[in-house]
Amino acid sequence: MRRPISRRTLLRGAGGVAIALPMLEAMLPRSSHAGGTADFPRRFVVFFSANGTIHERWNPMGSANDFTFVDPANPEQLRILAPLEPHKADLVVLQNLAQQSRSHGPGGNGHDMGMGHMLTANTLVEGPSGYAEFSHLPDGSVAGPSIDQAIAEVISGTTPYRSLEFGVRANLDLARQLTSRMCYRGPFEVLPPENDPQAAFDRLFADLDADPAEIATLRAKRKSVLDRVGEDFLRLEAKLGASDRQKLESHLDAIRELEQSLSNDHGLLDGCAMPTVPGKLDYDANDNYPLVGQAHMDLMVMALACDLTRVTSLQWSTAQSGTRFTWLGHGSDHHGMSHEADNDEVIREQLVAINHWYAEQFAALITAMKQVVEGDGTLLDHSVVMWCNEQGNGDTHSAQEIPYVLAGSAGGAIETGRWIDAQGRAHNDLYVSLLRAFGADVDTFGLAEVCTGPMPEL
Amino acid sequence: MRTCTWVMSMLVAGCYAGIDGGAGQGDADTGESDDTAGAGTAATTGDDGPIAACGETPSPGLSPIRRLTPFEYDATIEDLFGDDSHPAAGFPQEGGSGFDNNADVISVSPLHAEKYMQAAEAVAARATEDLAALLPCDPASVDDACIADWLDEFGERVWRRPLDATEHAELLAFYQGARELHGVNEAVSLVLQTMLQSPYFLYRVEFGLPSAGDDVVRLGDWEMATRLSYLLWGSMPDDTLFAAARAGELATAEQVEAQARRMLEQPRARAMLLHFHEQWLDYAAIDGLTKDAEAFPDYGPDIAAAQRAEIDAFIEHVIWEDDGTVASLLTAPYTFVDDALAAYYDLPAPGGAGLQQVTPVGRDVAGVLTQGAMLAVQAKPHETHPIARGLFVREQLLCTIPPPPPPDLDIVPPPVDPTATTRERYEQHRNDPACSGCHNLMDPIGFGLETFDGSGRWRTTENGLAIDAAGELAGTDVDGPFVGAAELGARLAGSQMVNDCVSTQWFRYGYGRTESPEQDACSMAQLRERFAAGGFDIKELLVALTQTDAFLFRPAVEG
Repeated sequence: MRRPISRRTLLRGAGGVAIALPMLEAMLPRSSHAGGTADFPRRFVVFFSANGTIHERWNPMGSANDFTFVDPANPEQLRILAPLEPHKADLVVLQNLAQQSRSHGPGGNGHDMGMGHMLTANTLVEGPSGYAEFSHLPDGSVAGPSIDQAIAEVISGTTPYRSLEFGVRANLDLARQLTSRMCYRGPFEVLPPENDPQAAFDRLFADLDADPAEIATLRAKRKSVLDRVGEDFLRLEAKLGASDRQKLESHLDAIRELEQSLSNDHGLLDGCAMPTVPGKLDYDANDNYPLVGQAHMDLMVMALACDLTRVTSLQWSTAQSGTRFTWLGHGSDHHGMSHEADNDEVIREQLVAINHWYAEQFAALITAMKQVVEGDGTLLDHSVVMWCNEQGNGDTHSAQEIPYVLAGSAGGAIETGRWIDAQGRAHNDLYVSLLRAFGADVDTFGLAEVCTGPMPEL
Repeated sequence: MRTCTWVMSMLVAGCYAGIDGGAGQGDADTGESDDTAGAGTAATTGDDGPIAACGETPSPGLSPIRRLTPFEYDATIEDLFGDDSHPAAGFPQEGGSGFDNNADVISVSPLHAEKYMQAAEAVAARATEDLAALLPCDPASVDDACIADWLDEFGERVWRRPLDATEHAELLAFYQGARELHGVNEAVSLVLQTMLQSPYFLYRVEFGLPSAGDDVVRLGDWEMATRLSYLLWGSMPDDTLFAAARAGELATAEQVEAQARRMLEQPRARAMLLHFHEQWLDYAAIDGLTKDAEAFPDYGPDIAAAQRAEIDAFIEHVIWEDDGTVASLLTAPYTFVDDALAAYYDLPAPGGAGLQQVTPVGRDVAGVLTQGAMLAVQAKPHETHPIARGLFVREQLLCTIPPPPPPDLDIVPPPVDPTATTRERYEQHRNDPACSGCHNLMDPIGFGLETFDGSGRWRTTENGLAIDAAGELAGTDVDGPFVGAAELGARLAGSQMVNDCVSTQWFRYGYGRTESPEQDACSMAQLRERFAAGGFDIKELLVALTQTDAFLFRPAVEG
């Protein structure tokens, strides 16, 4: 249930306040004077689910350009990607990519490594203590930015938010922080997700009907406070040693981004509408997992449709996910089960059901994006939505055969409706292809030595 | 797909090499530390002599700038304004090395900046509802002199040091500008918002005392007051501590120790202790924990909440009412239950209101090892998890971290078998020599806790079969077979490795960083020596944390 924001334009107060003003001539929605799709921004969305997949039930059937997710010989069998059957023409199913970078750098634990390498395609780095315990890097990090941030650098423009991170029970494991985070600006610059849909709503869409004069005053006050604070930061930075100074600089950068989001007025796109108010919800309760995910996806789609951001991610739980899919009738937890699938048929079927459920959520996301009309096309047409996983096989923590699904063509830059066997190619190459699709002129991403260039199929 | 046998030799070698080289355990596993009576440690040269690891000049190690954690932010706001609304509840979760305050790992994202702004606005709005309580003058006649006085007094509390003349003048000018536009109330609010988003509030800024070219400097008195208060309270200094800073009475180790002993008597120390323990003992997940309804139909949110209350009460009692030792944490024969939790555990109802101390008879009780919260968290949703329980003891209590399964190893946990006990199933699995090399270090510890089911309840049978709670410790300074939780607790209570590990965990939490084996050798030895001298009383360890090179000194800020 979305409330259209007609004849209004969005003026952000930032930090919990975004308001609608009566439309002014100068703030006409961009699409009103753009008939085609060329003027619409390009977007990138990450959709993460954990613990690998069951390949023989995930793989499409047929050929590269003519495939199905339902087994014609056994249509009753639950197949993981079946919920995506209606969207085949908008997909690129990518089988058999590998996290080759995992063979490099420090770290040993498959969950640490898988999650850290997943979006960075780069090595891990040890913390300043030099204390890399066998399994985990207790104060370590990643070596470079995640792909969402690299793409944001190319496409984010002057949107209020360079990126927005959402999480569904994406709770931090204090002893294994690398397993619970996936988006990074760079080493030790983690972007934590917002787990609370209501807080996200308040941040992005609240006060839509507030008095414009009040909002203008609020913005002026906030700007004056942040300016004053910024001076404290600058003066202090000058007195600190190098590593402390770096921390303060990064903090000040965050404040500057906040200030920028206060200053950027922007016109609404046609598809922009008020998302459903999530309401207060025990967002950390296991059984609310589907509800929280649904609420986040609604906010993500509208944040994109309203051009509040062009890059967003949804992190379903964490590597080593302890989610219990009680709504599917399961008693045990996802991670525990992922280690029991190889010799237990019942659990294997339950894992298929879990991944099938995630496919349903992915389908719901791209369906919602298709419902946002932008010129001659839809929001999905102007986007790439990437479903990724930190493992190939949850039991062996395999870095091979990682399943990916892309949806959307980034405005025609990617040819969809295809199934590609990447034959063990480094996932770096996928990210190079994506960066190019979004207009970056790059030959490598992440750990350069495992890159072989963009994927020719893309 | 590879299987266990693929890596047999590498894994076993790796495991033993790992245990021998594991950091954070000193040399307790060299076989020479059988004497665990507590009279000094391997890191000391003798009873009264200087600590060998310490040289002529202090070695404080690194001292990264520290930002308030959400826990510290909330406590500080409460102490400043009496505002107990927990404004940091929605801050992003952060941390590393097992603790939420690891200064090397945590960083500020744009989401943080926005949350800080929102929190500052909300706190300032509440604080300025009653200007009479906030300002040192009649709110009906607020003039610049009043604000100047307020900045002197309150500014010192917010930034935990006196404002210098420039800062004072800037804030006053900021106030005056804001008052012209928005009036007194809102101007005061904006000044507060500014101060609460300033690095001088959000960070613990230290420069140390000026020195003539030394690499190592002492802390200034205000800096020391802040170090003490956040270490022992997780909050800002109180009036006494500020007065000591103002009077220059935090300059010597003895003065610092006297304050530490005073501070440990205050209620804030209790909250900090629990905050440490829920991280060290990894039981925060008890909040909202759910279990498989088929396996544990009676386990619901009320039981999980009661188990949280139980372990909190237990830890508080050991530290503050009992002797406060690590041994008591691991062996105390009592716990705390209300009638409902007693019924769940099949214990006699204690009666009375709320939690009551009880000493169960006819079953193993071993301090935190048999706390319901611990056992329920270190378990699967539908059954026990001996590996997780054993791994918990190794990682959190012994500070030895077994290596992970090698890449691409096909891990085959034992299938569910209703005609066998969990132990029988895991033992069969462990018969594979490729896996047993490392799993011998974990699983047999967990087997000793099999008399407690996956929700923390005592049991003597499983699937109609008698529980075998025989276990074994290996690769420790207290190796050998044992039976049941009480024997395990007693064994660990006599372990120097465990006491050293407790020191290590407190070092990480107390100083917000992982120890460096070289640079922090002296501070670690100082901690262990004093901990031993204090009979391994955790309160003495807390005092000891204020007496190390790492606490009393810091590296000079490089030019």
